[in-house]
Amino acid sequence: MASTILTIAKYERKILLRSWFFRIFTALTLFFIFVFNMGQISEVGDRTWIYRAVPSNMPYVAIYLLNIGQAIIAVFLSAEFIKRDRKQDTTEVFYVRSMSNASYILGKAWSILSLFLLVNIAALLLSLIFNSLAVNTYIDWQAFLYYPVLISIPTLVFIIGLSSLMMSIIRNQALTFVILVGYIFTSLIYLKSSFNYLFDYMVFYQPMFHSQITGFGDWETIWTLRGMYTCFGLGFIFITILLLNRLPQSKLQNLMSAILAIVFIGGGIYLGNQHLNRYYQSIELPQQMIALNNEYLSNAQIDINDHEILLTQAADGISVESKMIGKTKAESKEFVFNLNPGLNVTAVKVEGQPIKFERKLQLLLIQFDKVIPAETTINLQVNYAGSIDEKAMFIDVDQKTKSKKSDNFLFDIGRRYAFIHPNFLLLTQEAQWYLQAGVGYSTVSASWFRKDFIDYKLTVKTLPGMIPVSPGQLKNLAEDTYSFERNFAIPQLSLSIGNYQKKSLEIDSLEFSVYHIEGHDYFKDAFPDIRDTLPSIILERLRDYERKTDLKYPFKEFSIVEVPGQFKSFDRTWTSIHQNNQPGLVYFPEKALFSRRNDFNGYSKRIKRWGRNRNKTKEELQITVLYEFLDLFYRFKDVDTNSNSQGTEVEETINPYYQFVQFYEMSNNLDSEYWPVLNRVFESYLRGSKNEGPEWVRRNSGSTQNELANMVLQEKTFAEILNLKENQELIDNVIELKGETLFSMIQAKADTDQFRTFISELLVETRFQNLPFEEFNERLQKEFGVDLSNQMEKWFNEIQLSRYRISTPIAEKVLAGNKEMIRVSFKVTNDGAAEGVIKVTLRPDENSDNEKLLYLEPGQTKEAFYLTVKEPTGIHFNTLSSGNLPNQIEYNFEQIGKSSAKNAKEEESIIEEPLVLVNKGEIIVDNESPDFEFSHFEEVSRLRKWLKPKEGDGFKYKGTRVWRPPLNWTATTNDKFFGEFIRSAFYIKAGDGSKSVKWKIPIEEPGRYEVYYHVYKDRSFRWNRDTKGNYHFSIPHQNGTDHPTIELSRQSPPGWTALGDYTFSSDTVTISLSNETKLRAIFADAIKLVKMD
Amino acid sequence: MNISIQGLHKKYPNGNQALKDVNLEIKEGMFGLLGPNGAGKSSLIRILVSLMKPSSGQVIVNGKDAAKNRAYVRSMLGYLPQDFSFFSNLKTYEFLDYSARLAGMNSRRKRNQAVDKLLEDVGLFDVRSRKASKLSGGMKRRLGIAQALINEPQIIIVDEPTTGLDPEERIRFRNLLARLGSQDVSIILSTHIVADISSICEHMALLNKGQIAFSGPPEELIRQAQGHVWSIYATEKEYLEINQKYEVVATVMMKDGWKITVVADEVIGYDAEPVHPNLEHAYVYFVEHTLKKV
Repeated sequence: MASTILTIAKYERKILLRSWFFRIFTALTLFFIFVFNMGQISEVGDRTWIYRAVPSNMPYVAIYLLNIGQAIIAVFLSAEFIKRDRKQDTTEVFYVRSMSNASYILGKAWSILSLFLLVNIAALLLSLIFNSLAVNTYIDWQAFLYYPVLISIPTLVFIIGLSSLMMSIIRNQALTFVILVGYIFTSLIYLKSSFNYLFDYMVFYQPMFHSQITGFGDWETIWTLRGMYTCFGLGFIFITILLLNRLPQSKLQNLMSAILAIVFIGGGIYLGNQHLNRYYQSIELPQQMIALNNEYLSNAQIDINDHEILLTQAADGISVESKMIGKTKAESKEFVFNLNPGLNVTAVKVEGQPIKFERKLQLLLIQFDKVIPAETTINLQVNYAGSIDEKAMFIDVDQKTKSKKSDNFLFDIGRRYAFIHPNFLLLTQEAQWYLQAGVGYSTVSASWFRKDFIDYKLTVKTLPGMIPVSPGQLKNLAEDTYSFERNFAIPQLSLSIGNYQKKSLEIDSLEFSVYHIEGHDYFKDAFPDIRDTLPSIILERLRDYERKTDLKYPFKEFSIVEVPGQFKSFDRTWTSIHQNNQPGLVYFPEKALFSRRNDFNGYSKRIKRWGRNRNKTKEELQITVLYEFLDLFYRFKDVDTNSNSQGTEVEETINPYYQFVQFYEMSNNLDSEYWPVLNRVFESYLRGSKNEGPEWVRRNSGSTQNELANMVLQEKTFAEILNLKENQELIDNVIELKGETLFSMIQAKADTDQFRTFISELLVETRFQNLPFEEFNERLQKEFGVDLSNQMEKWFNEIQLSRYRISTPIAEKVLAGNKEMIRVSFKVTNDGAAEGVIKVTLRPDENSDNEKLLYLEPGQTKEAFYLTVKEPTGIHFNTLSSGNLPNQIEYNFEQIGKSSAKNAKEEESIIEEPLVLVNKGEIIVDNESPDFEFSHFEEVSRLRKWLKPKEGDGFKYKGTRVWRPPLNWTATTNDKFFGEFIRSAFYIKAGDGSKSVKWKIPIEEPGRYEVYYHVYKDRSFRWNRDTKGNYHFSIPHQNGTDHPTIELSRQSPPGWTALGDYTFSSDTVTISLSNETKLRAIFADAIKLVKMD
Repeated sequence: MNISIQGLHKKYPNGNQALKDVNLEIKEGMFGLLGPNGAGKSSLIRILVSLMKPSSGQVIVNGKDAAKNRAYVRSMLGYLPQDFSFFSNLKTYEFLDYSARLAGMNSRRKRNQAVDKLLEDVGLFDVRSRKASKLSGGMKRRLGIAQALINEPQIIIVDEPTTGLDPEERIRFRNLLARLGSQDVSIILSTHIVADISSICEHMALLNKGQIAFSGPPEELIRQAQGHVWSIYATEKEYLEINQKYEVVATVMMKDGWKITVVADEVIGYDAEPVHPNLEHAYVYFVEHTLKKV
């Protein structure tokens, strides 16, 4: 039988090899892999670091790319084979030969499989060549075996089996092909990673990243699913044998085929079922845990002050002896703690005596015989052992977010939250590896989360030869036994154990260290030419940041600790701490694979090619690379944009390596029982306006995240928003914005400089301990007379927003004393129902320290005068949480006049008369007015409509994309448009004049009027100096209709531009503007009529 | 070698009764299976080569039931199907080599020898490296017979082998078959061309509408037609009448009229004389005369 199978395979392979379809596919795929390697791995291209950092990724990516092609081509080839057999042709002469149907089908299947395996070998050889030529890496030989075995073979076996089976049933190649390709695209486009990659037969989405430290991230899912697909493929092949349109030859073999078909299909179903069970468990467990947390939320707790942990590491688990001293918070017989459900509690003792306890999933309930009064000191000892159930981590994060590919790499790296592996261990607070008082995440109330500073004493017995890393100074007590010394309490404890080596640098009594896994010190020769200056650069950058934030780095050391590549944590609304960050240390995925910037040598060579770096010396280049690396720790958010025909979506996530957390979250806590979010709110004030995306994002997407937050705040109270279950990103932004506004307002009410100093000192004073809100408020009241608690209720529960009318600022030369200075003045009216604060910055903003805060009560109007020595180019207003759109406004000073004012001072004065933007005798109709009309056209192309069904309208104001303007009048905002609170206009692609807008202007009395139009000059005037075109208006007046035009060019001024004077007799004047122009787009903003005489 | 076909019936799902109670005994040598198109020859052949199951009845090969011993039957079979024109992307010798391996020739040396010899025998050695799909019609048919002959099969079944071949190829093909027939094998030749059989078959069966109308040596068929074949000398006027009245098998134009060969029990009113029938006459007599009467 084997010989027959091989014979058939040999000749069928020959036939396949000679098919042009196959040859072209192979050539194209190999070429693509070649180009990819050239671009990503070789010295010539972009050199994405992840491939060389973890070299198993090189064969992985080759197989990954090949697999996409072969999964589709194999369908065609398998269907083609069976199709040929249905013809009355030479196949019949083979059919009458003495061979079993099994031999025949297996031979055919093997021919396709073996041929593709040859292509796999070719692809791997290609990869191997690039791998061996690549710098700063090595060859991971095993990966050249396990990737084809895990990716290609199951995919091919499955698709060959499925297509042969479908062809045997449907007996129509075209139909089979269409159905199967349909299935493939359904799995790729719709099913994607659903049911934890159940349908991902070509492992397009499923993470197959192999860490050099701990191997595959989710080996169980990998082998279950790959096994399932192999089983199904084999099962289908055996069914095809039974369905073959040829009289069977061997009953035994047919019987065997039937049995094997049942066994394999059964095996596939079993594996699939196992997988689904685990999947459902991963969904149900968090829900059960949340339900339990909700149930026990208000149960009594013990407030832990000291916590001594003795952890013994085993290859597959941990065992822990935990001793705590704490005080009961309320009187009760039962106290609640939480601990990962994968850990089994073996004994609980109070004051050395065993005590009853109950385990309910993650909860540990300690039950006394009698009621224990509040404030009783309890000495508790708990012993437990086991492993960490990762399904019990991040229970607040939904499955969709959890399975979302988080990086921009070609393939998904996967997600692991904790590691217990013979080579490595990583436990963070989220893993609940040590006992914590109370319950975990609850949906009932935010009160479950209260940060607490606890004095942890950790002793670790490691597996032989391994080194533990945890916040504090490592001390070796005995062989493989270590403790961590620290003389302050910390809010969370984490531990990693591995074959670590430490490289450190002591600068100005601060120790900067890197804990890397043995052999992973790729960075050691990274900055050869700035070795001496490197420490001072690092320190300078830190001190700079300290100056900007007015906060001091609170720890004595800062360590980068290497962890496996799959390690991942998520943004939370209640804290900005990512599990990547721990007191004084940050976890970095292995070899910092996430950015090519971390491949210091390679990156330095790469940027050398850029024009601006061509003339830089080696030292300068290395400094640039170092700066970019250091920036990682000071960047708050990662911005990701996704553009489609509907506009641009912006996704912002907190940069997990952002180290502001060390300055506040890790070392301080503003603790409020009623408003737990206050801590986060306070933090965002301390951090300042760092949460705005780049300007181009707003231009494309139509709004900033803060503006969206303001939109929501116009409809919902802060408390309501905090309770929203979805749209965490938005909640985050609301918190940031509300926080910044609240404390800026307090700062504005108090004296600006003193307030910040007071805060800085207070934080140092209360470092590593909780600062109760009540105490904070008391101190505020004492120092500045501001009572925060009065405002809190309103601030949380009322829909209230300020909104501002701002006059055109004026800059002029004045005399201040006997010194000539520039005075900038403007008026503002707060027209909203709530008090508010505006941040004002004069441009250029070199030191970012000339920020002024202007506080306004509801209905208040102020005139502000600021003085500066240097001529300002402009002024910037940030209206923070307000009803203004855009919420940031910038003016440029075209000219600076001269004033006769003497003794000019920097001051704010309250004015009785509110500011109005429309002067007496003027009528302005803006595009926001109900008197503004525009025509809307349905899109003509049915195909386009069908392909891109209109999604929800979303935010009313879209981006201003002059490069690709919309086909209909579309609202957009910009601070250069006219508007009272919303500076908006409608814009449209230039056309033939068939689309127009109308301003219906009511006039009180007939007469002669000057007509003006508010001109906006879009970015196309900046790109191209020759941009020139007209706006065509139509103005009906007493003596007929005039068609005035405004010519826009690079030189023409923006703003109010005259259209001429006309006599109007009717009570309403209808002025229209058409889309006819040579410009790219037409913007319809505002018309102004000024009564003459 | 003994093939015994017993009570074979074949009814297709569309209701077409292709074979009705077919009984035949086939021994070594050339056996001709003659019958008009649609008589059921191909159905019978496809059952014999185990491509199809009969509705009832059985085929016994050397005392073994073919349906239960397909491996046995297939191992001694060489088969050339009727429509043998579509080839995979294989070269001539590769195609034969593939067939040889499937026929059980595992030794590469023996296989190479056998393939070369067969290619010589069928006159394809010179084109051995040409793609099979690029061969001419006759060459393809010869390649077909070559693959059927590989590994010395004991039963060779050829279905309509000469259809579509030019006369030269046809004669060459018949000679090839005749040469094989002299060996100790059974060759079943299914055809609707009488000449194929008359020249080489020792035994034959005549299949008509799914039934065996005659079985025996061709001479017996001829003998039965003795006295039923007439040659008529006819004028222009008579020619048309005769064409309507009798089964005409041949017409030759003479100087003063027509010489017409007809099959009939008797000829009255014309200038007729009995002639010695050949197999073609006998076939027409049988199919068009005797069977129609029945």
